[in-house]
Amino acid sequence: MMTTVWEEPLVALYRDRYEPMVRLAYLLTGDRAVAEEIVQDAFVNVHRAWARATNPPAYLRAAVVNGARSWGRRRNLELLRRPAPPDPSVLVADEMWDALQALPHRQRAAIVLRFYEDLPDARIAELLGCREATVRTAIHRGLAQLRKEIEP
Amino acid sequence: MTIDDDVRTMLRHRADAAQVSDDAWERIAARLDQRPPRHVGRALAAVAAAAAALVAGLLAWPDPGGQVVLRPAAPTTLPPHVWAAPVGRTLAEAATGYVELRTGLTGGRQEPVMTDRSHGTVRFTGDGVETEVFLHRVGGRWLVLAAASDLVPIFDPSYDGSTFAASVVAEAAGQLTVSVREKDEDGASEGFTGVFGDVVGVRHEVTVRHERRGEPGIGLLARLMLDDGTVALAEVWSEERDDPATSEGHLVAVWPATDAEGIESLQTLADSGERSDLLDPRAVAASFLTEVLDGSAGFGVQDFQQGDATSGEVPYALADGADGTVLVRRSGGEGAIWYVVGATSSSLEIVDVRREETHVVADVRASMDGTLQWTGAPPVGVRGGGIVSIGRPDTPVGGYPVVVRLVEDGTTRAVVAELSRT
Repeated sequence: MMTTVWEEPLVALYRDRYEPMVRLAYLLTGDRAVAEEIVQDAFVNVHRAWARATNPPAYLRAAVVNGARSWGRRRNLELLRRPAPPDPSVLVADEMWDALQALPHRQRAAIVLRFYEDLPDARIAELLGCREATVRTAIHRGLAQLRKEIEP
Repeated sequence: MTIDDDVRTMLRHRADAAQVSDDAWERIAARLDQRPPRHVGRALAAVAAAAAALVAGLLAWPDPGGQVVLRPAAPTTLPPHVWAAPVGRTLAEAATGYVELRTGLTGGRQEPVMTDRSHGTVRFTGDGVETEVFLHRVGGRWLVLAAASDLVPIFDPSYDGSTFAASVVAEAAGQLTVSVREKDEDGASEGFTGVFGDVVGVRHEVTVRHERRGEPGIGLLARLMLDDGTVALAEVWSEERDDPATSEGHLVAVWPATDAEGIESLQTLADSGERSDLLDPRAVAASFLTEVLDGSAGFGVQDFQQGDATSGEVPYALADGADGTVLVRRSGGEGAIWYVVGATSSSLEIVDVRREETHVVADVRASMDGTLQWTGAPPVGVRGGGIVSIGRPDTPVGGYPVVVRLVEDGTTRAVVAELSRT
């Protein structure tokens, strides 16, 4: 892999964070291919903003979360026009996973960022662009919906 | 296992299913090679300085409660509120008076913030009280719209004319008391009726359901006293109509003048590249001025000054008139579209906006002679230094755009805008 001097920090970030970010994006979107696309877009954005990003890994995560939200909006429009066929590559049916993917983006993202990334509510609020109380509301409602879906 | 544990386990299991392609870096590098060389952007210190300037500018706005209002408005209807301060109180005094009334405590450290000309918040922390009070100034009088605390949030309050429902969650252990309040026919409060009072643990949830047919509104007050004596306070008032903050169809922006759903629609267009102009706050400010001025004045805009991740301002100057700032906001971080929530002017000020039966009326102060113009309203002459009222027929609920120009000899000399909640 050929690199130039100014790419070295980006390469280091890629080696350290690409795979974890793909996992995060997958949890947010439920689609493996889309997850990689979002993360690759995020790396391009990080490169563009490198001069003013004081914390590139945090910027990268924010770009992934925003990318997932944007993808969700476009997908919702497409589903309105043309419902998607079932994905044959989906793993064994998992009611909770399906219920998570059906949540609104903010609720899903808040749950993933708290229970998978183990982020504090203040950090989640920064990533989602809302107040901490809104984060707690989103998690409360999201968990309530998940509970309703999986309980007999 | 709790639901939290189930979710955590499910996420960790599912994350393992995510796959990484072998040529991921090559794809990223190929896209980087296609981009023009990056240039060094502004240092974050400049952004922080702009943020500090924005905050300083907000704090430097005149304290409405302390200023003499030349022609105070006399509103015939008031927005839903939990308490009305006596006339003449400042923002901080009104909030402190409310907190003392509800807790018996003086409130401790306060952080008053004016969010626009007629709205403000005061956060209380330490010394026994934890709450954030939201206020709205109407006719020179501060109304407490609600109080909120992260320690005792109130979820989904609603009243449909016969049943009031809400849930209250204690985010910390302590003594939780929940009360409801009704108004009698004359509009005065009948006092609080307790519906819950007990020592609770963390994340204890209380569901409130209060049957009361025919009342104009129902209030809910939640107080959580912690072991150290701190009181967390939350209060809301629900009336039998849509909550303007959440209902569809209520404007959330002056420009584009649209509701929350409209913003989402524009966001999808921006994401697809069709309306990428909305991703540039300076361009958004310029588009707003172009539309509002409609050829009646030339103008120039300066660089965007970011206040925080979701708000900032764009300074502007009219070619033959006053200067000011366009206030812009976005609902998310990087990639979210920007929209205009107001515009200030060095020569024009909206003192108050109120609803009068079939009209919306704005009281406007001008520092120069001219004619005030507002689409849909008869023009009104004004003398420099005076306050006049300009009204247009409408009976809005929720956010309402007020955009007023001061015109002289056919040229706009000043423009001001805000999204008022009448």
